[in-house]
Amino acid sequence: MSEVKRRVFVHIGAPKTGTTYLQERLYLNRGSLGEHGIHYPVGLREDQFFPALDVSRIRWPGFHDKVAGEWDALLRRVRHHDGTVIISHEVLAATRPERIKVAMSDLSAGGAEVHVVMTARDIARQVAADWQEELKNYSRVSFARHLRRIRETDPRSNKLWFWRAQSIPQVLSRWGHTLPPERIHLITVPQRGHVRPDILWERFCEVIGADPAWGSRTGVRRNQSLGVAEATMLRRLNKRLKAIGVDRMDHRKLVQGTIVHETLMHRQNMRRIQLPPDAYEWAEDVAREWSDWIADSGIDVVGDLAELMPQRPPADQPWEDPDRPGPRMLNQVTMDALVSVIEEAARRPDPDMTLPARAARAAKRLRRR
Amino acid sequence: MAKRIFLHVGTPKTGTSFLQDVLFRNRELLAQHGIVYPADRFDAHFLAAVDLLKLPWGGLEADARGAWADLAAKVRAAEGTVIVSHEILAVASAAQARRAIADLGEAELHLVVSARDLVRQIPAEWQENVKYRSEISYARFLTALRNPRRSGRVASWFWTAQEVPDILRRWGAAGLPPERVHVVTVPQPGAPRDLLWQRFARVLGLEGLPLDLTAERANVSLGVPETALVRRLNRATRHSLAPDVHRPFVLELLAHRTLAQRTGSPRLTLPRREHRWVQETTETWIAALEKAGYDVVGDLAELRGVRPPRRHADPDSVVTTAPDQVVDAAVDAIAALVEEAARLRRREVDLERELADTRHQLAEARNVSVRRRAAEKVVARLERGGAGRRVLGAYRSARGRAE
Amino acid sequence: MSAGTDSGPDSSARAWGWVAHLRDGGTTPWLAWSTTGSTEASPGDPLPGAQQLELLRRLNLAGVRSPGLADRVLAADATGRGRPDLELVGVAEPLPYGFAPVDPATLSDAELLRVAVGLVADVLARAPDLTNRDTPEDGGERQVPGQLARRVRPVLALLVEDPDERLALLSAAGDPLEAAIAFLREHG
Repeated sequence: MSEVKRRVFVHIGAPKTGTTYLQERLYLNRGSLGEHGIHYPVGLREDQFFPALDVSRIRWPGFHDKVAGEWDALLRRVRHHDGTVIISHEVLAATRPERIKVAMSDLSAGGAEVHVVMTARDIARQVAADWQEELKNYSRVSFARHLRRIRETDPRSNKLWFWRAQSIPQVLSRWGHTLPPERIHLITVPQRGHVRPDILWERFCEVIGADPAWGSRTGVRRNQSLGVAEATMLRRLNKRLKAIGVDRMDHRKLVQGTIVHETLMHRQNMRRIQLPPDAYEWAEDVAREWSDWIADSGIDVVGDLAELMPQRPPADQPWEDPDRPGPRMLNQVTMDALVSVIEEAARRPDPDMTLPARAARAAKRLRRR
Repeated sequence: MAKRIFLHVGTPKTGTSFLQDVLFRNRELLAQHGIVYPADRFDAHFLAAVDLLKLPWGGLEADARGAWADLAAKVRAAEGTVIVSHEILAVASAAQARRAIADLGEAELHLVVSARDLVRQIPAEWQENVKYRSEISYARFLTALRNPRRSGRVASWFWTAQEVPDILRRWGAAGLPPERVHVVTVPQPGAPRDLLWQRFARVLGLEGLPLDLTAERANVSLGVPETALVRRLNRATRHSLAPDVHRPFVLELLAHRTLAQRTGSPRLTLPRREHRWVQETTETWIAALEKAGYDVVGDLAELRGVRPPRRHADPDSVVTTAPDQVVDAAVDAIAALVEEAARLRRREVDLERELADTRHQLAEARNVSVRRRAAEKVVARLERGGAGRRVLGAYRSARGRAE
Repeated sequence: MSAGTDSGPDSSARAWGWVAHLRDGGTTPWLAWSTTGSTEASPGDPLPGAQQLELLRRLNLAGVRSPGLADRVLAADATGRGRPDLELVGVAEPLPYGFAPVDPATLSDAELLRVAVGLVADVLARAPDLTNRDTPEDGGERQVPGQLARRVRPVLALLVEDPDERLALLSAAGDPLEAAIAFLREHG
């Protein structure tokens, strides 16, 4: 093999597989990683969301029209570096083939060796995580319908965001068809309750050829998930907000911010959202299909394929229907959310009161001059 | 014709807001007919009453300073018929009432009290307590009312504000000819919508005037789950919300504009088991009022009310018995707050833009030689827009201070 | 039955006698009072409320004397919410409605405090040097001597059970009624 000056690892997701955790860790340790020849070129931002949107041309409400030129800027930063360069954003997983082609040719220009890295979690958890993500983004769909839609859509049809971003065979076939299998890396995310929280970082480092100790700084660990009652409250609220005509931007600012991130995610003792018992057979079939594909493809697997197999909850643990949470819980959640929005409103000064006062001050200043 | 003063001193929850709204909005027309309603803001008589009675009122009392003296001076200066109306005057002590009447000056004084049956007043007043941040349960509220000592804030307020014969005693009805003491009864449910208004109009001599009656008849009563929700909210925000936040967000936005608009929730009623003592109390009132021989407008029998229904939705337990109703109400409440926050956000953007314009144009106005004309242009422009008017108001008052 | 529960014209004279006794600095409780006084009040004048009378007796007990204070106490309004001025037990004909007459000695401190706070507020309002202490720096509110000047609000807040505003000078001194009495001794 001839000497390559630059290796580029494109970490493409999937969404909800610890990507934020990895990106934060890369960002916080970019100095010491850089000293070891591993570069994470974010520019002035903390992540690569904008370049990823730019190259993938994914229409992301409120953002996709603000990212022109971001990819080129990233490419310029990449070309500054020899050694190893990391690109990471989970929206890349859903990129269409024609845009993947552009990205790959841009990155391999000048003889760079490009690798594709995918982090993956078992499908049962991904279905639940995807539903929550949709609710945060103003969806009004019930869990039952969400699940039915996934089950009834052909993963190859590209009609559903879920499959576009989560189906390991589809995503890796699209991203990897120009690469030899040893440059395609699949990292499995351990099941809940894994003893070492750093395991995902260690696996990622193994792929990019880093010593995990070069990136010892960790961000604040956030619990990114909602429970059954929290999700249903959010869904009911979305319905109501839609009915009174609150738009998407306001929803993002006001609901995602105050209600979801500052309140719901901090609640204790949330009941996990889980597949209904009768859906596990389907989920296991999907997982087996994925495993077979991975084994056949000969790609580099870091971790354990068994981790992609859904874990059934203990038989004695009754399933809690995410669309019908216990009324007491729901009550409490709703109350917490209500209190948080009132307190938020209280912190927000009334512009009618403050701005005219500023106008008056401006006028005064003018007169004094 | 000799000068007459109609002093309407209660009681709360008897259509008084509607009456006061009509009087305020038609005050110029009334003046043409020799009837004076001395108020330059819609709540002038409320502030005067707060001032007279030295009532702390969620911070509003700061606005009330001197309001009673102002009102009394206007009443003294007026001729013809003068109307003073506010329902919280009902709680005046005998000494306060005597002083208040003396302040109003020489005239033929008429006392007016409007009264509604206790079967409706009791639940309404508990709701009122909850809306004003009380955490008291309905059961405890009812117990407090039954206690003959009537001590404690809740019971003392209820009875001072509602006990019609005692209100009239404190306001010195015994010293007036009975035909100048008017008891207006609130009609029973199902009566024609404007019957109460006709009764007020008859007492105050407003019949036949071409008054604009489109005043808001605000429905501010809450259903059972809605009231339970507000009460829980009071508990949760006791330490975190200042009164100046509670009023616009909880009282006005949530209670009045959102929760009171919800239909289909069970309404709050008097529990059947309370009806007997309520009836007994009512009979003593009716007897006292009949004996005094006052001018009754309506029918004292209406004070008996109708027997409460057997089905009673209990607001103290609705959170557990019908949790979904409470959740629905809470989701509506959150949505209303989000919508309001969105409105404020947009408004902030508009105002920022106008602020920039104002700055720019003020600077221009300063620099050009025809400074005056330019300034006029700015003012004219600002006056066209709603937000502009607010900016301008602030600008004018700043100029008033600075120059 | 004790003399205190009789009612009628004699009782009224007895009550006026007690009023005169308190004006003179007396401290005898109402139920122990049996003398009818020479009454200066005209028969139509209403008696002061039990709350005002009992507060005056407490001030007398505490040895607080200041010119005109007794008049001001008896004419004072109770501030905030609570029972209206109550009648003395055994004076008026009992009515089938209204608030029952009371033995003033049984009134709670809170009820006396409603009257005391009004007096404190009056003192504060009349003495601009006491109200002007923390004028907001932007001059947002002009300090006008008046019943409800800004500085007085914390005092009134004692009556609305507002824990955040209880930093008032009264509660700072421990028992609020004692503090009010002490304040009136010094400034009243």
